[in-house]
Amino acid sequence: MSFRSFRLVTLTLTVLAVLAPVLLIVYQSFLSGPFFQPRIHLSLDAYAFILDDEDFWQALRTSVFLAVGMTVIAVPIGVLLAFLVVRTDVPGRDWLEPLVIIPTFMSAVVLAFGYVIALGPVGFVSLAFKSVFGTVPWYIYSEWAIALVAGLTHVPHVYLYAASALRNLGSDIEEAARTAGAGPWTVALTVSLPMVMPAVLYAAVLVFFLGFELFGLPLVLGDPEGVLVLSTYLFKLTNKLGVPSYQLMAVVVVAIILIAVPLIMLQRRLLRHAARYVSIRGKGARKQPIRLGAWRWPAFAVVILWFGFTVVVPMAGITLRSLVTSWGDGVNLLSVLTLDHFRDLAEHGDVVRAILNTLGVAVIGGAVTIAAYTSVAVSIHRWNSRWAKLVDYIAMIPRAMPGVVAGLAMLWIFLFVKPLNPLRSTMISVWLAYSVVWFAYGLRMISGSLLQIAPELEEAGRTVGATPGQVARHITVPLIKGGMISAWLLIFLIFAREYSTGVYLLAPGTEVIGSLMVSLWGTGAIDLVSALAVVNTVIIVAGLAVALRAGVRLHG
Amino acid sequence: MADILVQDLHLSYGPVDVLKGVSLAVEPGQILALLGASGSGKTTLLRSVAGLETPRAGRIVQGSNTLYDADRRIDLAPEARGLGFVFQSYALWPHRTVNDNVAYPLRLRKLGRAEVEEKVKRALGSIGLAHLGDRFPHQLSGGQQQRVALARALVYEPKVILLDEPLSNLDAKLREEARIWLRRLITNLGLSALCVTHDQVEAMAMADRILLLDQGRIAQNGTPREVYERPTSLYVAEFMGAHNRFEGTVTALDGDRVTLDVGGRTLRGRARGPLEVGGRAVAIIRLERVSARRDPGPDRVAMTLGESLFLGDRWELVFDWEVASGGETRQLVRAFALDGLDDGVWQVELPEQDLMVFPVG
Repeated sequence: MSFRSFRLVTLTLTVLAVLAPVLLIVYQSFLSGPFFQPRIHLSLDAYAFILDDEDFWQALRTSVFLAVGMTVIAVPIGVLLAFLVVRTDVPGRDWLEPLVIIPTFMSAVVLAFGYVIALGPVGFVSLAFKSVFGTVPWYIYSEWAIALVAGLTHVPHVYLYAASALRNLGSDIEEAARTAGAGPWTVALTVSLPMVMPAVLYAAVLVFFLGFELFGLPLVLGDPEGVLVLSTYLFKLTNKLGVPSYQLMAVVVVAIILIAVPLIMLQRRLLRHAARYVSIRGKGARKQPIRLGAWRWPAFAVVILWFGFTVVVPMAGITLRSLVTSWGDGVNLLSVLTLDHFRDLAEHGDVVRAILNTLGVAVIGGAVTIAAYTSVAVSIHRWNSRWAKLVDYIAMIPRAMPGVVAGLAMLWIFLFVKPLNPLRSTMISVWLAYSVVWFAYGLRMISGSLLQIAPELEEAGRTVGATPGQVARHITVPLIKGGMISAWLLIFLIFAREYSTGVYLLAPGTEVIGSLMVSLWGTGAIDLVSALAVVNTVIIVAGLAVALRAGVRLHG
Repeated sequence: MADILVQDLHLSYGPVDVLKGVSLAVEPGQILALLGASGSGKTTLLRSVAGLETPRAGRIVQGSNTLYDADRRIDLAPEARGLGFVFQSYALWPHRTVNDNVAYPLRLRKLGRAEVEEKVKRALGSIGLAHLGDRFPHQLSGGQQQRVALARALVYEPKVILLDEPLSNLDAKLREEARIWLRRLITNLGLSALCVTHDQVEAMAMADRILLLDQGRIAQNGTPREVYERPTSLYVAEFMGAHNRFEGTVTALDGDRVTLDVGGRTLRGRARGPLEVGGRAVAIIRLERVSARRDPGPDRVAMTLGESLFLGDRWELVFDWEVASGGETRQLVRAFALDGLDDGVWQVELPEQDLMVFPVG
């Protein structure tokens, strides 16, 4: 096959996989009923219904509240942590960085379950607190609590951009200020911070955007008090009317996409701006960290406190819950210890399938996904054409779809396209949905590796007689092997953690741990859920350990 | 028939014209140096010949084989041109051993395993690296990498080899040896070569002809001696060699003999372009043509020695010449000498036949 036809096939499949779900959603939103029903016609009724529904507006308001709230919380903490780890002599700065990044790889539902179990009205921590102080001053099932938890779990996103901007900052710029007479703190506030502002601004918009995508936290923490955000409103809509109301769901999805697209475009602009700013870099001289003096240990405590609340408390909660038969006021811990929940996992066929499916889709599916992303990236690599730019834009579309939306869209595609029907209840549907959702992320990882290749290495191949296809096979792809393996490990972590994309595709045969946990939580099977959450976390931690061992950079 | 013939080549990057009608011919067995400042388009020209850039108009022919012809819509892919190309960075594939780097072009040509092995051995032997075949590129020194890059470009026996700043990544001492070695290798193999460089000394040492480019146009095309000794424009004269520069007014013309007024002082030189009495002109003289004498004489001007810089193999002398041109009252005149001089006033000789006068404006 010539390189040209390879490119044509790859890009056609890409465009189909990305655009078809979106087009189907838009089409569905203008129908009077689900697309599979007879006697449906084009209509705006669904829009009228949704726009008239007070719950929709309430959910939208809550989404905005959460997005603003988590941005306000995550940005200052993220910048502070980045400054401490990158620019000061805080103790343990070498191992603090991987620690700070860990929450990006934790499953949001697992954390949410953990918060309920630890800090809920009868949580471990709550009860311990109550036994000492007599009362519990917090309430986990409120919008404020969700915003706080969401903000703290998104600190790493801000950290990553702020830290890399701080690292790229030329030390000469800071040294120039020092020699001009500014003290270290003056330099930090008047030189370093303004220089990294574009990166921080980008991260702020990113976090705000992710606020609209929240699903696991509001689903678990918002449910008891009926707090709905757009994605959970969409999820509950299924039950609202008792009949499959696809047209209404489609309208909500369209609304979510309409909010996301401008935010994504804003991010692209800011990213370009930030990159321009940071490219003013000095010599790679090693920077002298700012001495914190007496503040060293308090600074260290800030990092540990954040990590403790964000990761240790919920994870300890869920782990503890998986090891006890029951929990409540006045229960003696030692008398209820058990390993039964883990034994029970083996007795549920769907649970066993979910674990195997999760491993399969993360390991094998992940590898196939990376191969697919690589095909696309190689197809548009150094291709100076409008089509290459188009693909670049199309890659943004899945970013506008939260996982739960993409899963729904994929379900519809498998129902709508008759030849695909038999695949609906196989893992292929789940794998395809995952691959589409993470397309932009994965493509950027692979393209990033490709950009590291000096163009002459490929041109040298051409001048000695290799065709473009031969250059791709013999030079380009072998040169990014390391990058592909890193990408595979990261995709493994992401696929193992996924829960929202699979919820609509959940059926006998397509269970994955994440979506099964969401479904089991709804039935109240908390023993099973906590054991499953521990299994999920073990898989992720094992993958994380391998990735760190292999020297994978945990951020693209 | 020329080995490489380029006719009226035009190339643009968006709105920027990089090549504005360049023509050249490389005769069989000849080395042509493409010389120019950065941004002159010399590398773009070389890459166009290799097929790595796409021109907008013109023609590129190799022997009887048309590589590019805008009018006939011919544009052969790089791999179909069969030229050898040595990159400035060498572009050795880091994931392949030296043997595999050199063998790759042969494997692409579907040669048998034994033949590939034999040819690789011979190619590496001829550059003195037969013992390093199993190493990876990063395990070689810069000079060794450069030779492997050359072996890779020559192993499939192209008739023409294109070199992009082949010596610029070597340190100064190695560079002087390498340019002799490279010239020998190319002439011994009977190849034609097109070689980009920004170093005029390197161009003169290596090439049979020099083509000097200025902003996408040919400034001059000739043998190294022609270009150095008989520059056809001020740009070429200033590009080649170290020189003194005087600005003044033409006061008399007699054939190609020019009398020039520089700030009230008189200089005599030879016209290198259409001059007219009363017009502005620039005079250029190479440093090695300037000498300091004790006694007055023709073409000699009294100047004070300001500074003597010891350069190792010679001295650079800097004289102060008192003139009154514009606001300036002093002009620096530099010269090379084998020995240092005492401070004081000297008679500096600016021979009339070496002072090249160009019109300005």
